[in-house]
Amino acid sequence: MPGYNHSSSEYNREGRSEAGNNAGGKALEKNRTLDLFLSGVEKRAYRMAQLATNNPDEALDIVQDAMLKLVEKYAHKGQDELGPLFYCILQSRIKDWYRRNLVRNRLRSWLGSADAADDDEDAMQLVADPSGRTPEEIVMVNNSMAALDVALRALPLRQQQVFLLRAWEGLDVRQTAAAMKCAEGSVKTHYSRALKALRAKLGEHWQ
Amino acid sequence: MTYIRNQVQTDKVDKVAEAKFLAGIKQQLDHSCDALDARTLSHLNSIRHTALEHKQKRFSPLWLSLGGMVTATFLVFSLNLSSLRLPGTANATDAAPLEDIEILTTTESLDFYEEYEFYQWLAENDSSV
Repeated sequence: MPGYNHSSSEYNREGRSEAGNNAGGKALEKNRTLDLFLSGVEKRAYRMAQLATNNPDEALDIVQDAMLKLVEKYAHKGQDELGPLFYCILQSRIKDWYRRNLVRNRLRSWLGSADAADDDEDAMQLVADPSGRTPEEIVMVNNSMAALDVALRALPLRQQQVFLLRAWEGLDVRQTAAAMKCAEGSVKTHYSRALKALRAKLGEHWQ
Repeated sequence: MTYIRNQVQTDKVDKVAEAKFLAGIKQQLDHSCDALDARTLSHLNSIRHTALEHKQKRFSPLWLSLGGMVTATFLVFSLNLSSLRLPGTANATDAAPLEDIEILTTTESLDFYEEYEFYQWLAENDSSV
């Protein structure tokens, strides 16, 4: 028993400091868990948002919003719950972006001020390969990666995100339905349609 | 029977091809994460730290004590306000303690005060007559 032989004031002081240490230790542990979780999902979350938005800066904004929201609202949740919660927030942010973008595009088309800003060259294509592969390998991998990106971007948003959550992130049907806020039956339909479309387009790359 | 056997075999082959296809896509997507450029990685790192710092700031004892101080100041201020009277707002109950002090400090006999109402009535009637 801590502080058993001490006077009551010393006991209280020690007890309080121990409680403080425990609370501080727990907070530190929680922070470490969150840090580990976020560093584990940040790249995949970014790629999901990038595929949905086709814009690196928008994707970073979406990931930032999702991380802030998770930390603000659900930091106390257990590690098992963090994944589905994070993807739920991320999907919500992607949907918000999609709606905003839709309205913006409609306004642009009404005002007739559609500019050619989207025709800029993709900066990803200009980055040097860090793994030291031969030019032929790079071309092959880049070709299949580019083909995958194009095929995924061509999918309707819901199909695309359901496919990524199921096939890449490994969420089951129930978790995916919760993240996408739709019925489990819809998840199955979206996934099946996405898989069929991707196989039709990318068959030659992975068959 | 042969048809069913062929169908089962076709399904099995299709499942294997699907699994292979999905593994290829997963590998490709993982590779695309590893190939993210330094600028993006730095941004992601900074975003993560910002989110975690945001949480620490939100729950830090400093903020809690500051909030406590603000609440305490507000309570003290509102108590003072409730005891403060603006000029012209005093009523009969407020004046009562002053009357008591006057009674206690006067040299008149207590009998006079016991019959105070009677004397007041008498004075009013005298003036009317």
